[in-house]
Amino acid sequence: MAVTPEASPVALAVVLAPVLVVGHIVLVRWMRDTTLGFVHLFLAFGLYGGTWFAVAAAWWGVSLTISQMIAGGATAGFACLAYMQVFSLVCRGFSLRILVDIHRCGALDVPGIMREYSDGHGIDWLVEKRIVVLERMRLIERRQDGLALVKPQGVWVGRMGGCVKDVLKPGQGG
Amino acid sequence: MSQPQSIASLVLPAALAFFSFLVVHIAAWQVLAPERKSVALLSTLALAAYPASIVFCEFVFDLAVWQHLWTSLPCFAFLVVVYFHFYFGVDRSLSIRILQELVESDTGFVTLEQLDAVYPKQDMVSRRVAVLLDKGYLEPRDAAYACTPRGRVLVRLALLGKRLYNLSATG
Repeated sequence: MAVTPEASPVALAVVLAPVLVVGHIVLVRWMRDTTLGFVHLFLAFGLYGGTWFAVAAAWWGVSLTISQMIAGGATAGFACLAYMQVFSLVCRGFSLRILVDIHRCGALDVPGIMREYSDGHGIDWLVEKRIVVLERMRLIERRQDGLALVKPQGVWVGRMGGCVKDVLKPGQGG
Repeated sequence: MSQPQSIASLVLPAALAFFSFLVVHIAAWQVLAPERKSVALLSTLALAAYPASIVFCEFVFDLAVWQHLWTSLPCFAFLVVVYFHFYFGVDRSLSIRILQELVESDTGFVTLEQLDAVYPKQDMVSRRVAVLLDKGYLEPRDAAYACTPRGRVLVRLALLGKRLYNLSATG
C-alpha cells in the first residue's frame, strides 16, 4: 500500500500524543486548584495541538497542505477526545467509583454503596456535586428547597436530552 | 500552502461511514431491548461502518483505499469519538438527567424531594450495579456484591489514575 503525504502528519500526531498525557499530568499536579475542573485538560489540548502545529510548520513549512492539516488535526482531535473520555472516567466515573468502593469495603449491598460512595462521602454528596457544577455554569439556581432553570441554555440541554432519548430509546438514563 | 485537488474525495469515505453508522445505530436502537444497547455493540457498528464505506467508495466512486486512508480514517475516528461523547453524555450524565427533569416539570422548578421521586438515588446505583454484574466486574456475595478478578484490575487502574492525577474525591 502506498504511503500518501497525509500519513506523516498522522504519524506526527501519534508520536506527539505523550505530550498531551504528560502535559496534562504536569499541569494537574502543578496547578493544584481543584475548582479549575477540566481547565487543565483544555490547556493540555492547547499544548498538544500547538506542539503538533509548530513541529509540522517547521518540518513542512509552506508545503504543508490542507489535506495534511485535516489528517493531522483529526488525529490530534481524536487523541484529545479519547484521552478526555479516559480522564473523565477516572475523575468522574460513577460505575468505576462504585467498583473502587466495593473493593475498599470488601463487599457492599446497594444501601451500602450509597452510604460508602467515594470514600464514605455518600451518594447525596455526588448529587450535590453535580448540582453545584450546574449552578456554577449558571444553568440552574437554588430556590427555597428546590432547583430552578434560569437560562435558555439549560432548557435547550434538557430538551436535547429528552429528544435524543425519544429517538434512541436508551431508557431514562442518568 | 499548496491546495490538493480533491479534499472532498479524501473525507467523503469518512462522512459516508459516519452517516451509515448513525443510520444503522438509530435503526438498531429502535428494535433492540435496552440491555442489548451496549458500548460493545455501538463500537462494533462504528468499526463495521468504515470498511463498508471503503468498499462502497471503491466500487461506486472508484476511490482506492490508499488514496484516502490517512485522511478518512482519522476523520472518521474523530467523528465517532465526538458522537460517543455526546451519546454517553446524554445517556449517562446525571447533570443532563437533572436538567431533563427540570424541563419536564413544566414550571422549570423541582424540589429535591420531587427530584428524588422521579430520579431515585437508589435507581442510579442499582442500574450501574446491574451493568457491572452483567459485564462480570461484580459478583453476588452473601446478599451483597464483591469485585471479580476482572473488576479488581479495573480498580487498580482507577487507583493508579487517582494517584497520577493527584485527585482527592472522585466520582
